[in-house]
Amino acid sequence: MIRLIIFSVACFLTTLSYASELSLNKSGKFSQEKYFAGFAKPFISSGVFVLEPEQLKWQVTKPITSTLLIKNGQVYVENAQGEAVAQPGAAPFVNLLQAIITHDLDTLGKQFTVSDDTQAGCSLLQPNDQLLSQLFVSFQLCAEQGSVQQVRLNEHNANYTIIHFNYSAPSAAEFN
Amino acid sequence: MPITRLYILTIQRPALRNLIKVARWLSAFAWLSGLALLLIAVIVLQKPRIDSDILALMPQSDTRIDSVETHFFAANKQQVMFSITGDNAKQVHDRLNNWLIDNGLPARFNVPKIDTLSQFYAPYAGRLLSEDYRAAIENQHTFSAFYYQKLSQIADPFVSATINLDASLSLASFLTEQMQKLQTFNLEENRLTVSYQDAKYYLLFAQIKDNAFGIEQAQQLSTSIKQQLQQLAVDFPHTKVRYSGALFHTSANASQAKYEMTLFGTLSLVALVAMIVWVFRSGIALWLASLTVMSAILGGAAVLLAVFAQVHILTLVFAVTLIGIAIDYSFHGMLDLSSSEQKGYSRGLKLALFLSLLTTSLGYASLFFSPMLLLAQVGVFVVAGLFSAWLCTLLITRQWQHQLIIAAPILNLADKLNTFLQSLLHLRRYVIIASVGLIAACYLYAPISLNNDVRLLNASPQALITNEAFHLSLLGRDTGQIMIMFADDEQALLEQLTTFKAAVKLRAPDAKLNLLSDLLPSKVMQKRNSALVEEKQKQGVFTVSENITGQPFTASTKTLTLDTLLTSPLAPLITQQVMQGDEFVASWFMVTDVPESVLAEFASADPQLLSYNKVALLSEGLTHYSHSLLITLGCAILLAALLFAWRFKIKCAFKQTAVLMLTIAIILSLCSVLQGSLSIFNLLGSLLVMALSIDYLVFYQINQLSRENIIAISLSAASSMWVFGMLAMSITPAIYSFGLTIMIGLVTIFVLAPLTLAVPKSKENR
Repeated sequence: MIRLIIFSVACFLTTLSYASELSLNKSGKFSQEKYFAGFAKPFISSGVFVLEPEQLKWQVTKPITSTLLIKNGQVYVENAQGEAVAQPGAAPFVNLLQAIITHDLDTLGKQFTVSDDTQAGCSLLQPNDQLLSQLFVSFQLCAEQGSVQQVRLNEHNANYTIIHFNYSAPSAAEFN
Repeated sequence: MPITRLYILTIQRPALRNLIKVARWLSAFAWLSGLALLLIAVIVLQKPRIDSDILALMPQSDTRIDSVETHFFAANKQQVMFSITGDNAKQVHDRLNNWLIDNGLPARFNVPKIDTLSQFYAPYAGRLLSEDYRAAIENQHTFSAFYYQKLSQIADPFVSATINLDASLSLASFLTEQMQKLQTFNLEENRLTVSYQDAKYYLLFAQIKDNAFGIEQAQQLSTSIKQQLQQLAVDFPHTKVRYSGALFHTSANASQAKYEMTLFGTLSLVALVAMIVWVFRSGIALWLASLTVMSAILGGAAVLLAVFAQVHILTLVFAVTLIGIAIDYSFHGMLDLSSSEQKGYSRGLKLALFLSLLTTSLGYASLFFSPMLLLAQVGVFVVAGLFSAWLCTLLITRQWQHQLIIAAPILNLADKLNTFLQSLLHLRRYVIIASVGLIAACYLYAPISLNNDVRLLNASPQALITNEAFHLSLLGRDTGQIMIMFADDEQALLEQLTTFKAAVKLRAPDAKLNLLSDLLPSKVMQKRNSALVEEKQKQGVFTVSENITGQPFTASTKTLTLDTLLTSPLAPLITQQVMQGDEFVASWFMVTDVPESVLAEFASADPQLLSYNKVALLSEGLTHYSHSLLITLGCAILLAALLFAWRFKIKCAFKQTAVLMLTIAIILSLCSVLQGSLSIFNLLGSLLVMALSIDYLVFYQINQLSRENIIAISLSAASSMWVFGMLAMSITPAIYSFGLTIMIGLVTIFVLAPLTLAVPKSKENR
């Protein structure tokens, strides 16, 4: 269940960038700040992502290396040996990603309540799904010129995560 | 007699006759009313229930198993499951779900709240470690990698929910591992789904209320659900809905049993009425036969309901047989009265009736001690019913003696039968040789074997059985094996479970087991975990978490116990998984991806571990009971031999016993050929044939080949064959076997019984 949520959110976020520009090939960098209530400093990680017609690769490179793959309607995680291990239970959320990728607002509207955020250029998505709503209060999506620049995930216990996207192509050396 | 009194009697004779007539009818109605009132009183006081759960009929096995299976699996009987696949599966799911909710059958599935779970487990952080976490705290480097990986994830609900409670993330890791194990299905937009053989299935589970398990309610609910499914099938023709659950089996079995009971009861009643009217050409004979049968039913039912508060519907189906036996008393009585020149019954008839009641009752009384509830109930019903019929015959029937006359054509028929039976007597050797030849031929064709696989007794529609198997596959249970671990106390149980898991993993590394000890490690294990993390803390393993969160590492000293866990958000799950009895504690779990033989090996090596297979357990129970029925049959033959030797001569007793054995051998051989193998119900039928056979042998020995005796036995055999022949048409395998056995047995004994006579004699002791 947990991995399911993680992967679904990962899928959701990574495809947002894709959705903003319906190009079949897209890549970039991301940085992620996790804020835990009561902790002085956020935990920062960063990595790269590559979206191709067949697959999406989401790779954390700092402070450790960890890779997530979405292909053939399945979600995989690379293990220590570099093998992609399928994550059972995550498949249903791939359909959700498709809806996002294709900007299918009707489908999104069934699963999220979408509204304009107070911040200019941002939208507020409130999950209707029981599982996602257990974890998140809302997603804040901010886009510029059709490209998602920042996503904020607000959790119930005042923790939140901010992910920044940078669409400059990562160099090969940045991938492990 | 004084002259005045004689005068009064003479003057008042017609009035006296009328008075006697009225008294006769009054006594009969008083008798029936008494029995009816007794039955009503028992019903009012006992408030009996009719049950149709086929499993409730099966032999009770080990009491330890019986008590745990009620606790662990009783709720399963109340669950219904639907799987939906096809073009409009989602819509059908939603429509059906709404319908279930509207009809008071809410979905059973609930996702545990992450926050509540985290809060509950927080005080035990550090005492509960996942396998991943144990590996992670090997050293500072491995822990750093683990910690960074956890925090780098976009979202991890357990990290988020517990990091403020346990900065070392041991709790997050523990909860993640446990929840992943518990999560069998996908949750897609609040709908449960599962993928199976490249198709997606939406699942719905609903819990039926307890009171829906009366037969009427089960049938109503089942019908109502099926109607809804039919409507959905019309509205969405490209979507398939499968359903399963005990409810549907109960309903199907009850409908079939009710249908058969009504059909067989009606047909046998019509046949009996026709035969009686044909033989006696009198409404009185019909009335007396009905009176005897009604007495048997009322008396039998009253005692049955007084002894058993819950009666199985199949008991009523088998109870139809009582009509066949009870009416024999009436036939013998009426025929004896019609031919008797003196008032009342002949001595021979009274003796024969008494011996008949004694032997039949003894045979059926043995069923009372049967481990099968059905047999025990049938035994009680028949014994009480026969006693009631016997009393009715002796006390009531005799009062109509003067109105009973045998029709002339029947007497002619009896003479012809007499000639036939006498010719059989002359051909006795050949008949016996032919019988032995038949047995040998049958044996060569299909050697007698007992097959007590309980699945052969399943009368549920094939579609239901297929759905059941399919749903087991969807649940991933088709390859799983249920195991039960027993222990003296909670801690011993948890330690045994831990040891078992480790042993299984050694033999089958891919094995999947969800154990209670995963959610609740034993106190020893918790203490060991605590010591481990404290040691690691001293080694500086947790420095990274302390640096990032700014919170110092602390290990809990509080121990999680079963009682505490039973107050947790997981309590509904735990309660169903563990049972705390007065003498033992037990827990069940499913093991998958381990060969059955390996699990059997573990179970045989550990008396506290049971490989639980309900079908195998029931079949084993039936096998045990079959053996005891075989012994009962042997004892019955011995008892009959002693009775014959006591009442008749040794030579005669030998012949009678030989005929009994031959009859049983023919029954078992022929049934074996016709059915492929024998079941417990063939043995049960044989027991009944034995009782009837002893009756015939006794009556032949006492009343010889008298016309009345031949008519009575022929009538008895014919009526029984009508009644039991009906049962052989049943599609319920158990009833079919029973009916077939008795039909073959009756034909056989009808032919063989007269062979025990030396020469035809006139009525003895007349």
